[in-house]
Amino acid sequence: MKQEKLKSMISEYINESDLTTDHSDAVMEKLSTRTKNRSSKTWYRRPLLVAALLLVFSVGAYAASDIIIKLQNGEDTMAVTITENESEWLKAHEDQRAIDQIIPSSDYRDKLCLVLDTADPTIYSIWNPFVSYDDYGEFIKTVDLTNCYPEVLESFILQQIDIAYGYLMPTQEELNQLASEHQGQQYFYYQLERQDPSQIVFEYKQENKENSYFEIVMILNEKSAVTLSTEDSGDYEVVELENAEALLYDKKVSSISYLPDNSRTLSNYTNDYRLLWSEGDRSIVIRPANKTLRAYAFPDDTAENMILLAKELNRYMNE
Amino acid sequence: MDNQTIESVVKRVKSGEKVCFELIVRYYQKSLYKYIRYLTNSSNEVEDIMQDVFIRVYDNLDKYQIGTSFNRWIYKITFNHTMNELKKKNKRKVILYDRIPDFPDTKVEDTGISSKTKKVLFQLTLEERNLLYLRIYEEMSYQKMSEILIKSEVSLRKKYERARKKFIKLYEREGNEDETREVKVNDIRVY
Repeated sequence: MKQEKLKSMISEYINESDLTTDHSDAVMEKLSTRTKNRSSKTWYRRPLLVAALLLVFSVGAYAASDIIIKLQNGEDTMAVTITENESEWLKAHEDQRAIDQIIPSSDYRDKLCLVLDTADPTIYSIWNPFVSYDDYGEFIKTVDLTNCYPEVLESFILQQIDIAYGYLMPTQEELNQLASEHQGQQYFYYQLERQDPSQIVFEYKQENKENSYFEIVMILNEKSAVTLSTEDSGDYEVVELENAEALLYDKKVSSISYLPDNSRTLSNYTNDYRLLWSEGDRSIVIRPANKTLRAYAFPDDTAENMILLAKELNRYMNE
Repeated sequence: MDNQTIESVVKRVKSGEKVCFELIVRYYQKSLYKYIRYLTNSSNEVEDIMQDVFIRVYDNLDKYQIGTSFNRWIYKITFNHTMNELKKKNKRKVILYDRIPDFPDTKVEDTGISSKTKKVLFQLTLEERNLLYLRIYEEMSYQKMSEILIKSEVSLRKKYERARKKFIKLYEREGNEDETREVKVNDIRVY
């Protein structure tokens, strides 16, 4: 279907409806009569909520009142405290979390924060002052929770902490090896627990030839997949099977079946599996459970290289 | 109104000329009405949601940064508020990981090509519908979309491509054989 056709169809539907009444008087009337709503809440409460949210998700196992978490970063020790009152306040306002935009204040520039987006509870950003900043200065990663299991989110947050504080960095030996092979690039980690590494399927997919848009789709299990885009190294996302199917509907993917409910999650899997995606060069580093860390490089985005890479990844996972 | 004109209006509102906000309402109401109606597929609540959006815009004018696109800012607020209203409407507890359903009174009337489009659109998720709207109808760049949706351009591009393909796939299922053939020939490349 051509883009023009698609635009025509959607535009036709959208333009079918039109506003027939001027609402400016009604809005102005509302503005003049209403009382100030909760959006005027003092901003300084919000960083507390940010910190509280971080703790709720990242230390859920210790979800009790008055939690103190200390994270080590070199010589600095930072502590974030959530008091009982804040915890209760957070719980009480759970349904309204979407209402406030949370912006880390300068007071929290030395904290790792989970940031809730304006009125949108499906989008969280990790604010991590210790990892390279993007154009906005602080927000380094976002997670779309509509496609995310709780465990994945938790894993994601912990991963950010790990990156920040180096808990999951490769061993020095591994780093030396990587450095020799890939000019010492920094590596992003993505860690997932899964049942059977041999069942991982790597798919190579080219979304848009004209724009050199490439993607490797990794089917993790019956309900999840991870996609890696070559367009922006370091970018990955976890998608639910429905979307994974959408990714792959034009390819033959065998033995994917829906589970009866959502009870089975990634956290049920026990074997450790890591995928590292390089930031600087184009390479994938893989370390299945009980196997040696191995790096694969693809110096350019040609289809041939990507297909070879997918094949090689599959071969190694099934060795 | 270009962004510069809007900014001057915003400045006047901020300085206390509340009445100037009416200009913003008049200017944006038609486009926001279409946007909200597209997202919700409900004619009943759209006007109320739209009015609430303007109230929120007014309340948050201080957060709008002069020099940035007001248009994107107001669309962002509209999308987020509409999403919240959808949740409230369904009277479901906001569970973090839930998908967001449409209004329960959603009905698709059979009125021709547009109804088929509508039927398919409302088989997509709200996010997917939104991406199609911004990218196809508003013809926004990924960069502009990323400012509204706070997601990376790459991620949006992926999501948009999937949403587009999903739409086409569902449209095919609705029985348009001619377009099915066109899709296979022009759009899908299998490696």
